[in-house]
Order: sequence, then structure tokens, then C-alpha cells
Amino acid sequence: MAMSTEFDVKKLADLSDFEGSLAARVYQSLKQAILSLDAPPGVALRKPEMCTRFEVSRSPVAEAIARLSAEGLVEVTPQSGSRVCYLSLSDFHEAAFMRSALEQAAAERVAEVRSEADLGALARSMHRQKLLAADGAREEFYLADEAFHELIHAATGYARLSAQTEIVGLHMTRARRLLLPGQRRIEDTITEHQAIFDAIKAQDGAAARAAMALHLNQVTKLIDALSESQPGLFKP
Amino acid sequence: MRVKPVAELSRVDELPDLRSSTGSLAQRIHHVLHTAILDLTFPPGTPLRKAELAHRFGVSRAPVTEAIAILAAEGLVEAMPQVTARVTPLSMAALREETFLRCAIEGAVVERLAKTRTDAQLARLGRNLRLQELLVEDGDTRGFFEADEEFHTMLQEFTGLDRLSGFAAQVTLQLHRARQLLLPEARRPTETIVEHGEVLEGIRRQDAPAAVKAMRFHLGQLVPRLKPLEQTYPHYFREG
Repeated sequence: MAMSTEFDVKKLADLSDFEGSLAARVYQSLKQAILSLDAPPGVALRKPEMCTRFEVSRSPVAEAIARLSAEGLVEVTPQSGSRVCYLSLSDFHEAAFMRSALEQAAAERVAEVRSEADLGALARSMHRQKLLAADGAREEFYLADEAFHELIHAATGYARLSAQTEIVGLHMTRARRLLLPGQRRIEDTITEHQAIFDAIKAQDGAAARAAMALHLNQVTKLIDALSESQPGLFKP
Repeated sequence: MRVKPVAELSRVDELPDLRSSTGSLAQRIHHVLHTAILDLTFPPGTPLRKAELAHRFGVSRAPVTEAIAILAAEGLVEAMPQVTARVTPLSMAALREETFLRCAIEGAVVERLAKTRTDAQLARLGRNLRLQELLVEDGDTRGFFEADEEFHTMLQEFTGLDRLSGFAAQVTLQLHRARQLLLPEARRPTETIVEHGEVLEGIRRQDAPAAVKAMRFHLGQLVPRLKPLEQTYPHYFREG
């Protein structure tokens, strides 16, 4: 993957796409660009350009960059200014461990407490994933994949679980985007989701947990392989 | 001027001076309030008044406002009409959710440690358990509580994942406060030591399922003991 060191700020989504204070919206727009790889690892984020692009003063931009830096997405140095962080294999493994811990526990719990309505929603999600796969609609499949996991979080009855999982899993989400979403991976994802669904339907907590662990571990295997074939994407 | 009841007067006076911590004014105020909330000097529901706190610390309102904003982001205080903020009340729903998160994380932690544990780590955990025993013999409730915390934090840190113990602490803030209300508990420390021993044994024998089972049993003892708190301390729990 060829990486330029210059970033075209026109790629940033408009602030009107987001909600909250100016700083919050600048933050969300930048974060989206970073996670989608529009702003790939290593590119410089220049404050004056962003101020011009968003038509805001330096203050909200500085605040947004401070937040992104705290999350490990942007690196701020006196010499080079602000740059999008390279992916870190150790950050990835940490995020994968924590996300897997929460998702395994969620799958096990849902197998035990799920309602008919929960099952209905999960079944509909499986249908949707299969239809999107058959159409080769990759971006929409990615969203349906996320929605499947969110349904499981919601079915636990724990209101903040989805948000918590997203927070701890940030560096995993980021790394996943690097994986080219081939048809093979989409088919495998559906098979893995089906196993989770079947276990939840059968009220088998241990099987649901194991199926979720296996599913998430596929990402780890692929990222480890990527770190060997394309070491330039990662920092040690 | 309204005469404040004695109970309300004492809390702010119990706060230590800012001298005892480091950082900017806002950070130091945050640190003092954070500690006071977690050790229940400021119990759930306690009102926080900017003017009163600014006066106590001898600062302007600005750093107090900043400190309170950080506490709000952490979920330790919430905005209220009439006062600046109040210490977040407890809720059984939140306690159950935190227990779920804690169990998810600590189960995964001991499952991993069963595979990766080193002799040095086993030795440190063993020493901590021995310390717990001595503290129970002494009847040192506070000391035991801290050694118990340390046992769990060590397990988290031994995974080698830097942010894990910080995250675990962040998502168990209500549990931390609620557990203090349970102290002292007559037989619980002795039971705790047995349960910790089972966890450690599973890790030592590299038996991941046994370690996980022992940790889940151990953490499963929490919620039944927390339930009566709603009856004993109704004013600390969220209304409605």
C-alpha cells in the first residue's frame, strides 16, 4: 500500500455531518478520516489547513488534536507537528484482548438470557449479511457485521456495553480496516457469525463464548500475518 | 444566613490540603476530590458547591470548575440544579453492569495468565496472599481491603497489557465505592483468601478452565452481598 505523507484536507467530512461543540465535530471528522485510512499513518495534520477547511479558529482544532493524541491516533511532536500514528501491533493485541474478553462474556450471557425478540433480530441480521455477501456489497456488509455485534451487546441488557467495547477496541477497529475485505473473508465471517447465532439460539453459553473467541481470533491471525508481509504499516 | 446542619459542614473540612499532591491546580483539586469520592469521605449524593470548594482550597472557581468537569467525564459526579454537581449515586443496575465487565475482564486475565505466568509472578502473588492472611489475623480491615485490591491489580498487570488495569479501574468505580460500605464483614476476608488461593492454584497448575471457574465463583460472591445495601443505605442509591 503506497502511503503519501501529504493529506488532502478536502477529504475531511463537513462539520455539519456531526453533532456537538465545534471541537467535538472537528474531532469526529478527523477521527473518521483516520479510521477510514483517508488520513493514513504518517501523514501530517497541519492546523492552518484544517482551520481553513473547517472555517474555525485554532482552538477547536487544537482541542480535537489533543483528544486524538490521548487516544493514540495522533502523535504530536515539537519538530514535526501532528502526524497520524502508525499502527502499533502491541496496541492492537491489547485492544483485541480486551474486546474479545467483553464480547465473549456478552455472547455467553445472551445465550442464557436472550428473548424471542432478540433471536428474531439476530436471525434477520444473518439474512441481511447473506444477501449483502451474495451481492458483493462490501461496505454495507462491514456495517451489517458491526450491527450483528451491537445486537448482541444490546441483548445483554447492559446499556453501556456497546460503547465500552468500541472504546477498548479502537486499535483493533483501526487495524481491521487494513485488511482487504475479500469475498473469502466475508464468507468466513458469515460462517463464524452463524456459529455464534446457533449457540445463542440453543442457549449454549459455553459454545457461544467459544464461537465468539474463534471469530475474533481470526482478525488477530490476519493482522499478525499482515505485520509480517507489510511491516512498514506498523511501528514496533 | 442559613445554618448548615453539622453533617453537611464536616465533609469539605475533611478534605486534605492541595499541598499533598502534584500537577496543575485543577489536577490537584481533581486528585483530592477523586480520592474523597472513592473512599466515601464524599458519599454518593453529596452536593459539590463550587464556591465552598474554592474557599476551602483558597483558589478561584476556575480550577474547581475544571476539576469537576473531569469528575463528570469519569462518571463520578453529575450536574444538578441548585448546586454545581453531586457525587453520583449508586444504582444496583450500574453495580450489576460493572460486575459483568469486571468478570469478563478478570476471567480473560486469569485464562491468559494460566498460560503465560512466570515463577516470579507466582512468587509475588503468593507473598500477597500470605500478607492477606497476616492482615486478617491482625484484624486490619483497611489493610486487607488494599491487599485484596493489589492481588487483582497484579493479576491484570501480569498480562503485560499496559492499559488493562486502568480500564478495569475505570469501569468499576461504583463497585469500589459500594464495597467500602460492606466493610467490615466478619467472615468474608477468610473466604476471600480461600477463593484467591483457588485462583492462584489454577494459574500455578496452568489449568485455565480451573482458574477461570475460581475467578467467576469469587466475583460471583459480590452481587448478593451488595443487594442489601439498597435497604441499609437507601439515601446513597439513585431515586426512582
